Amino acid sequence: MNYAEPTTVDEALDVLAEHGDDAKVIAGGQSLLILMREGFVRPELLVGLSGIPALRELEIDGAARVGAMVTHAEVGRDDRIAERWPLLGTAERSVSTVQVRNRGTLGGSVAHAFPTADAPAALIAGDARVALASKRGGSREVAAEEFFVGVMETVAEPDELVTAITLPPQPDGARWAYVKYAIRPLDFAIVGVAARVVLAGDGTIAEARIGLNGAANHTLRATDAEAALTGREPTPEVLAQAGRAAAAQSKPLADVDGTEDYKRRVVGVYTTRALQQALG
Amino acid sequence: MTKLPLQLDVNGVPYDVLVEPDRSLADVLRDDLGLTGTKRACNEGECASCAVHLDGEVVNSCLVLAVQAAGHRVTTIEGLSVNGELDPVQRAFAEHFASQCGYCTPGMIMTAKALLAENPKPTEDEVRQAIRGNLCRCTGYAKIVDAIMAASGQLKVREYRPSAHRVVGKALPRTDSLEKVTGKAPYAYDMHLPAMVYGEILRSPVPHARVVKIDTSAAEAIPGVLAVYTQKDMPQAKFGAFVQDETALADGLVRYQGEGVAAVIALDEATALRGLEAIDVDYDPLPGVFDPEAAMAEGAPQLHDGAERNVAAHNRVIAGDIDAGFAEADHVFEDRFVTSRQCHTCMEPHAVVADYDASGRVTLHMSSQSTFFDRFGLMGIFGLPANKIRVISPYLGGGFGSKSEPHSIYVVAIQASMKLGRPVKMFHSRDEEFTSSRTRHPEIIDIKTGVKADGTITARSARVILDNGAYTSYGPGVSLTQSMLGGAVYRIPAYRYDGYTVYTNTPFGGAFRGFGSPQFTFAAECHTDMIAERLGMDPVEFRLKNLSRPGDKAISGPTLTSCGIVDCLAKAAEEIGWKDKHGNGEPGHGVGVACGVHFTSGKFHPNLNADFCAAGVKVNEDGSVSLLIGATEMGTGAATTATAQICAEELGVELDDVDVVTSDSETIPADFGTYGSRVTTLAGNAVRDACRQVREQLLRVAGEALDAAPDELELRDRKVVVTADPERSLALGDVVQSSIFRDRDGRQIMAQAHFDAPCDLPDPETGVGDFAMSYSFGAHAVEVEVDEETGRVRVVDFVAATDCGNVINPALAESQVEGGAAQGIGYGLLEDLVCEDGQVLNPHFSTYRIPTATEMPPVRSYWVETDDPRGPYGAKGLGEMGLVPTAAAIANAVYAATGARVTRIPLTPERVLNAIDAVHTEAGSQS
Repeated sequence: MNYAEPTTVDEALDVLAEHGDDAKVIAGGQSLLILMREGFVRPELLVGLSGIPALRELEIDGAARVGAMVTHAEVGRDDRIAERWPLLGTAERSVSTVQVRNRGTLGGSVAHAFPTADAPAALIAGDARVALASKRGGSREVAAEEFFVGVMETVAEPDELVTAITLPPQPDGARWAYVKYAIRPLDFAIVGVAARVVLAGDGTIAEARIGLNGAANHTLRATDAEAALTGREPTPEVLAQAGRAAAAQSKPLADVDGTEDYKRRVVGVYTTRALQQALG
Repeated sequence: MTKLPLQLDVNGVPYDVLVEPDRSLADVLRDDLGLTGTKRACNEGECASCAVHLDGEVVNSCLVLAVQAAGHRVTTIEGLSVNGELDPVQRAFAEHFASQCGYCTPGMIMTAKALLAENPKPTEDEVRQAIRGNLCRCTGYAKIVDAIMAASGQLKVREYRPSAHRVVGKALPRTDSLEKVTGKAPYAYDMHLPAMVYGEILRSPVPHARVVKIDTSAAEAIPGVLAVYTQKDMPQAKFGAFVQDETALADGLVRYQGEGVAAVIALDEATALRGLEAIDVDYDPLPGVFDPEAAMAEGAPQLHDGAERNVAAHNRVIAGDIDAGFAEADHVFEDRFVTSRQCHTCMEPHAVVADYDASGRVTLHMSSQSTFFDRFGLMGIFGLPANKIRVISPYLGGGFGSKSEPHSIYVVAIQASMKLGRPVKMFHSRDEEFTSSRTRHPEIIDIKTGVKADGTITARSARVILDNGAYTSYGPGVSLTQSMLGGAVYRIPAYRYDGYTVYTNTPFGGAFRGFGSPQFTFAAECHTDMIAERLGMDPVEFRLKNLSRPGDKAISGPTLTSCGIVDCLAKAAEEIGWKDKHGNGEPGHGVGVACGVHFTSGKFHPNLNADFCAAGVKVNEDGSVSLLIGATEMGTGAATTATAQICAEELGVELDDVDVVTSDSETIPADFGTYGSRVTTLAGNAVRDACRQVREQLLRVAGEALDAAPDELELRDRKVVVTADPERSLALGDVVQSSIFRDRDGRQIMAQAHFDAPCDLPDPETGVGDFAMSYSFGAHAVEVEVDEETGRVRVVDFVAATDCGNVINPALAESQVEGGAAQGIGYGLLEDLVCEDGQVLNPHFSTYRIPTATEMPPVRSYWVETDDPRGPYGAKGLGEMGLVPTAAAIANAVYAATGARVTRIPLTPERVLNAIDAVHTEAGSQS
């Protein structure tokens, strides 16, 4: 295996264009190095991104643009994120352990697309977009809810690089919660629910956006639950209905933590709890 | 792979290295720079034993490539202390007993250091969150949190009860703490010898198959591969503590997923691993059997010749008239319980460096709990005389029973060293630790008890099926031990135990802290609560009515020379608030209690009618004392500190005056080693005996100089003093000098002693016997909080009241209870190596979950000191007692909180939720 460390995004795209599937990009390496050690991934060329200053930037104007090499810890402790995109800040502070947050990056986690990672649900609920670039296709942005398609599968092409995550300004008065159900706080979520709710002047729900980690083979937008909420008064029964709708829409993967039925049930429980917390 | 030239800045020193791009920073620090204070324990970022600072931020160095670290400042544990001056965090860890085995300590300190740099006054919860990625298997995190709070200037000083003695009974600091907090303590896994090469084992991906063909040619052709071996290259003698059914590598059949099939020896670890991938094995799959009950059925696939219906052993106890006992009962209750496959998860994986020299002697640096047993086992396998095998066990990074017998890596490493003439290092990867070392035996326990209407027990029987896994290891000993102890907690007039140790195509069980007690106690103590409930009695009252009393001769044979279980239960119940909380706690909350017993070592092998430890004591020419201990230091502090306290007490010196040498089979007297809660008590008695001989020598020599009879003299203040006239005295160094130099008759001041515990092998017919020198007791009481919508259980309060006789060092003893509580909580709620059709599903720390600092409640520890007549200063065994009753206490508390009785551990959220559903369904159908 060889190692390349480009110093600009263009250089990185050149390397990816040249090597295609044989190359693998390493951001913080907190997932990739484990996959490599277990023999699941065997790149011929490892492309390190830590030498590209542009990817380390966290820019805020009206919107937020989080460079792909900004770590979970940096996002989690950024005051501007905490104030204006609290869902993302909370989700990032929930990630794994301090050692992993100091090294792992938001962009790397998004590209890795593990269905029980923390940030993706918050990105879907926050209407985030994933910025991609390739030598062949230039730049494009994909909505977070369309980006994740399977276990460690995304719509990105092999020669495409995740360069940043962008978030639009959040609606005025939005209420939010990220709640995580895990066996231990450091674990991947069994279920992670990110909810963003905007109330209308009459107290009904004007808009709800809900992202679900762990509810399927990829992070999911809980559209049925959102529909069950929109235009309704947030009564306990309505929130419970939204939970049931989220559960019905989910198709969790069974593993040592529980059966599909069990996990579907806790998707419902935690969706309702997220809404209660957001509105409480 | 092209190597890259790099410069690494480590602890302010520039190092020029040439590394492959896929090498981790951890490996380069350890292997290239020799900085082994950075530990490798999982190699996948899931334990933080390898934590270092990168530009001041704490990271897992196993998940940083060395190439990525170039241009950044790396700080390791070795960089914290300057000119021998400890960092305040290191000092706090040493002073507050935060290290036990010490293997997690450097990573823990690096994490704490980073936390305090960012947040100088963290709350306790912030500390727990900050170290949640740092796994520790020994401490239960209590003393680690203490140390970090102390380093931030926020800890109230802990007070321990006063001691009647000068050194014994006091919470004195561990004698090995400075080595551990600086990362300098030696472990086998860190050992490096000149010209050393590395071995790796190819493991079977299938649980049961005939090995048709192994093609090693491609592996042998890899540059850097020195040899590839299969079982034909290995010693043919089978081995095993009870049944000789193991070989170093598969003997034509693989019987579990994870069994060794071939081994590669290469110049480095990476090349050896590449060699494994190049080996081509042709497996012919055989039908497997994965459930021990199914394995006992007629027609089930057979694992071993000669084990009819896969039964490797049948243990039984027949005591009292069981039929009469049940006939006399007003009620007979029977319940079934199922226990899990708990893994030891020592932070230090099993490791060995085997070095065969031209004289025909092999020296082993090995993670061994018993250099004596390991040497004995290896002598048999290799046909070598005892003095040609030297087993040196440095500090162990945890053991818990798993490092107490020959493992296949030891055999392969020795054989490879013999063939190649070079030192060979082998160690388990983390997934090998899970699949291919040893586990606690899963059990199916049917337990039946007869009771009178007033709650008096009249009879108890148990039928137990131990899932042996593919090989036998200590299975029959585990069954025997639980059979004996199962009759000792309560006064039971008639008792019958039948235990079947049954082969299955799964990873195999072995010795694990508690040695059968945790399984049986989970069943018996849940069953006890269920009986009380059915009788309409309070569970505590029911227990108090039936518990054993001091002086009892238990139905299974144990003589209870001391027994504090009644006081333990009363104390635990009082402290948890039983009267207020039982039956009327807040919603989702419940309290539960459970009692347990464990032995101080014991005789559990039919061919081994002995149970001994040994010690040597030498007073040097300056009055300092060298203490030679046969046991190894596994982390408890028993071998290095408790024994030294006894020695210092006996010889009238301070703890600092005693230096302990442990566990080198060439220099120590024969000693069974460290297991079975035995070191403080058995080795302690040996130390005491040796010290008394030394005392006689000192008094005789000093008496001549002081013109006094020995009985007019005493040892104190590092001197021999005339009791009636303390002005007349001689410093110990002067006494020794006058003895070993020519003005006397030229005698060493030294002695050795052998202590063989007073106990008996069980009767071979009835299984009854007083098989241990003493028996320790404990009661745990917990409060749990249950999320009734998810089934998730949290332990929010934990009380342990323990009778381990008199306590030799209250801080170390408390540490054993706290660490036991963590393993008990893990056993009750989290831990199970899941095997589906023989395939292990969770051989990682991320999916086989042990408690972290965020799962541990405060553990409140109380002592019922019973002054046992047989132990040194009244001590009994302690190490294992700490986890014996925990799982049952938790299950009983969950029942109290929810009305849901879960009879299988771990109490996973889904199992608890299903049980809650069942309660609601039943309630619904009745209304």
